[in-house]
Amino acid sequence: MKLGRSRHRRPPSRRHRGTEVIDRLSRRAFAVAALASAASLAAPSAAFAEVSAAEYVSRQGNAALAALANRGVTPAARQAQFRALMLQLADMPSISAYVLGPNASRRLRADPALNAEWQAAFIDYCVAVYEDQLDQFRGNEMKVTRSTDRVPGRDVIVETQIIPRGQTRPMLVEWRLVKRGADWKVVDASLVIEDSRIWLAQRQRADFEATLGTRADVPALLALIRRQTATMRTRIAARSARG
Amino acid sequence: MRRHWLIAALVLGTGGVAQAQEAAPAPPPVAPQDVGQADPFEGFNRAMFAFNARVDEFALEPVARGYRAVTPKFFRTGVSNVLSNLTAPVTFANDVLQVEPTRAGTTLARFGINSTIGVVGLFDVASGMGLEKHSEDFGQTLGRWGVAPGPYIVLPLLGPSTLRDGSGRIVDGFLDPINYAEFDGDDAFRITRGVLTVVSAREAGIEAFESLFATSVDPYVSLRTTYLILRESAVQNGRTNVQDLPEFDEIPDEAGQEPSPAPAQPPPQGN
Repeated sequence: MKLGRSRHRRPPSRRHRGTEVIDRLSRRAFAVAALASAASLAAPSAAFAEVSAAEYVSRQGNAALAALANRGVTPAARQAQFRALMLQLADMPSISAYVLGPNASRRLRADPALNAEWQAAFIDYCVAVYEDQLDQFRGNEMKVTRSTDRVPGRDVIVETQIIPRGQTRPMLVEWRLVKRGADWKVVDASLVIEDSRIWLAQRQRADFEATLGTRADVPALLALIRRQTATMRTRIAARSARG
Repeated sequence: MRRHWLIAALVLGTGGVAQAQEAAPAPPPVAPQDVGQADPFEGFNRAMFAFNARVDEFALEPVARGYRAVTPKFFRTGVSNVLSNLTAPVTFANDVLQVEPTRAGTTLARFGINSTIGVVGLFDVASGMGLEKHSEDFGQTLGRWGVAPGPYIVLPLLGPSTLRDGSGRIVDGFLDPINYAEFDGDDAFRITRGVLTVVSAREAGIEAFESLFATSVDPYVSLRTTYLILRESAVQNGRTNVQDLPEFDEIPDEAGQEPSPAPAQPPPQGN
């Protein structure tokens, strides 16, 4: 992995290898999270080109958590900012195809209109789920502890720790990032729970494939995730109303 | 086994009990997380899932919420620590059966430290000394010995399991010295421990259970998937080989590109 430079003020270039602790990133990341989120919305790729996967996920992940913690804006504005950050952080087109499994993905490739409809609905669902679930971490700092190359410079696993609100012990989350053009994009995340690890996109794919069945009934799944998205939005709105 | 049901639910809500751990050294090759379809009794299992959910709604959850309402956080943490400490003998036995001497040593040291300095397990002093907690059961041991999980089964009141894990649960009962101990009030002690284990675990999973039903398009499927993945990962003690992760090259057609309001990405810039 390489750390590079951009027009923005950035640390000098240096090289990471294998598993290196980079707490340095997390110490700064939270402090600049709000600024980074604003900057990223304005000029995302140009500003963050040639950064390491670890630096990228630290900055963008903490920006997303900071956005959720921002009570100085309306719920709608908060949602819009979080959505924009998620769409920038994650490779949603790839994920939305992956979670369907090969049969349904093949069907979507033959039906561009359905494909576009699926992607829009899945993104709405994902944003709602993560906006709801990440609320337990809002305002807290995510620390990068190490990164591991799966394919050097192209496919990297970044390990982070974050403490849920009201708790004292950190939770371990791993992010898998792949290079898309000049940018890093998250394609999956794993949680480590008492000696067990689960990759969320892989779990989602197993869920969707089971729900789709052998008929690969994407329209039926579309209806289900739209219903769940509405449920999530109700939960989020109720929580926002409570403060 | 009930613990695994709760853990499975917790992950669906990116659960609050998950804790950072030291990375396992020298991971062996592990297959990707593909649990496949192993649910030949789905009709029965869905009926049991609905039954368990109803019992939870009218009995377990109200009790768990009441427990949370009348006890302070430090008290609940202490109870959870004591209950966890009492499972150490079973974990130790399974560490040994899996030929994991380092982990067996950790379990033994944790039990000794927390039972003494930690005041019969009330305080998890050992974790602060770098001796991280882990759990083992005979279902995992069977998995390490190469036994396949077999069909997925939802047990009445006990929740998700498999033929292998359900069988392992019976063996764990024989491995637990508390089930043999004889002292004044031993039966009452065992019953109290059982009740507290259920209530404490359910209390810790209140938010996660809410999330299960709020976020999943099919909670039964989500719980099954999560349980099976977590159990297979537990058999490997969470070790993973990053080279076994799937490729993400299923890029959609141009017509289906990102419909979001995110700005278009300019080409990389030079310096």
